Amino acid sequence: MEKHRRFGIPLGPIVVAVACLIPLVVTNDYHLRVLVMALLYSIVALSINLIVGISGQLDFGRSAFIGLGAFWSAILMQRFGAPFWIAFLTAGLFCTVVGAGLGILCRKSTFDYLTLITIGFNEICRLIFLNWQDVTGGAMGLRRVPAPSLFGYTFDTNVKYFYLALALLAICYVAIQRIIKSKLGRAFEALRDDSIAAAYAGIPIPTYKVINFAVASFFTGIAGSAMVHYTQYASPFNYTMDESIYILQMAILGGLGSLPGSILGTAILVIAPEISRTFYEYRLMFVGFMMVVMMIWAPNGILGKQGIGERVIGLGRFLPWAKPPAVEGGEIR
Amino acid sequence: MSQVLMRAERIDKSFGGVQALLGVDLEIRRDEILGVIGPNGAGKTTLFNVLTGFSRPTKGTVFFDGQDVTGKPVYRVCQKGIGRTFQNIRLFGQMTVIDNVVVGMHTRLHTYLLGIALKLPSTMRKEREAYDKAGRILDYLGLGDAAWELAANLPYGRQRKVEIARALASEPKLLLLDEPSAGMNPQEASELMTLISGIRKMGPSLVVIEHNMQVVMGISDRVAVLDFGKKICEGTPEEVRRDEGVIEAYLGQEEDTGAA
Repeated sequence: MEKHRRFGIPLGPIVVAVACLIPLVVTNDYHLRVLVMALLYSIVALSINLIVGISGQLDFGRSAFIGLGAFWSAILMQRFGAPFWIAFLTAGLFCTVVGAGLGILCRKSTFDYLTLITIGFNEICRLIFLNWQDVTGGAMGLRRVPAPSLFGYTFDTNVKYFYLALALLAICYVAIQRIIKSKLGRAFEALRDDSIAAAYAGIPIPTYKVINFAVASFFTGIAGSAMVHYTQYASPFNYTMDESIYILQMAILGGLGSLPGSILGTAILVIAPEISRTFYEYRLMFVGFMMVVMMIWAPNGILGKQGIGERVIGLGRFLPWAKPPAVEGGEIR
Repeated sequence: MSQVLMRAERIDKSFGGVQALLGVDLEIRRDEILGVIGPNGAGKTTLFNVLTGFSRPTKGTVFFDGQDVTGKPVYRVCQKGIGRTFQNIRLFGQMTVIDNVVVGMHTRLHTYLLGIALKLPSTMRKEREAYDKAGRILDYLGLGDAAWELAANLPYGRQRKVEIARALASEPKLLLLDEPSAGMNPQEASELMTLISGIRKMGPSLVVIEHNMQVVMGISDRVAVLDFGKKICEGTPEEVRRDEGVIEAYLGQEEDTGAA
């Protein structure tokens, strides 16, 4: 039955190897900074893809989890002098617990109500960050968050942090990919495509929603921790719903359900505003316009199934030996 | 082991003022094919929903394999060994056909997060076995060539078969088919009959809702007839064919009561 197994080209190591060369070419500190943020935001975009793209739940509260991970990690290191790796990992675990809690609250809610709950959750977290003066520093935020160090090696320059972020992204990418191609991921996809049929396949939908939120929040949490130690500053104004929407747009632009898409979408939305000042000023307008256009003509994003990449850029289907394009309009109504 | 696999006792189900089922008793024996027929709106699909826990009966009890499963959530009931297909096809459209089938094995596939993250050999072996088995099921149903296509891209008739494949993947003791021949031409319908007889040899009991009389009379050991939520007849295909109540339900009484 060999023919029913999957095979893949080991593109991943090649991409990582090429990415490793980037600091040799890009030597400008500011440019590197943007790239590091793109890498770290990619992890967040991957995590939201796990919720929105794979499991089909709409989450408007992801940035609250970045904030939870960031504040947890910053406080643990700054106040309690915990080593970086403990602060980093417990930030992930803390977000897993909170994510599971949020998941339990909305495990039986249908799509729209779940979305409203995540919006409410984002607001609650934002207000806590802003007003719990003693712990989060209130509107001032937390300053001088220590840079991370592992085994006595401190990541204090942009280049060093670039490699740390790259390694982190690679690990998260592989982990999420393995989850997607497992029993767990198939159950997530099943509940996205048809929750009734999924229940008939023996999948407890509410439980899997909770697992989904918990697992995704772990990745968001560690990304938040990595971000705060990089910028060395945790501001309560960073973790708003606007930010959540911006992250969501990264995943949508790249293509929901596609992991490389999430990274591409993040790269575009993080790097493009930095290229020109004009674009930066109008970025929200551009992004808004882009979203409207995409939702109408290319709801699957760039690298999603039957997305722009397949339909427009990938000219493969015009080749004589290519399979005929997939029949459209085959959805079940 | 009792001969009765599933028993429904005095099932009532009402939606607001509509009585969808009224005092229905039903017995499904091991190793049999039970046909369920009845005019449109007779409550056949509602009966399936009640049997599988999708909707809770207003009154009555459902036993499966000796256990009371009334009102248990669908996934619990189905984990005990029930597979089902739907009248309006419900596939995981954005997943490949083979993934659809492997999802059907969900409860039989014991892998854990750690094994998944670390790609432990035992986990990978179970995954491989699952895909191999799914491949065999697809080959059996003649879908082997479509294994890696998105389910939504298949034509209607093949989608129906994918649903059957997914239900079979869970190795059910009981398979409920809701109008499997809907939208099929006579030739496809007769292929389906062969297929259903073949499935029966694999083990599960079957309950088949059908409108195609040729199919239902050809494959069923027993037939139950529903009309306006009541079971009006049950017996072998011959008995049902001769039953006056059934003829009345399908063709109407001489003095029509107005309800078609």
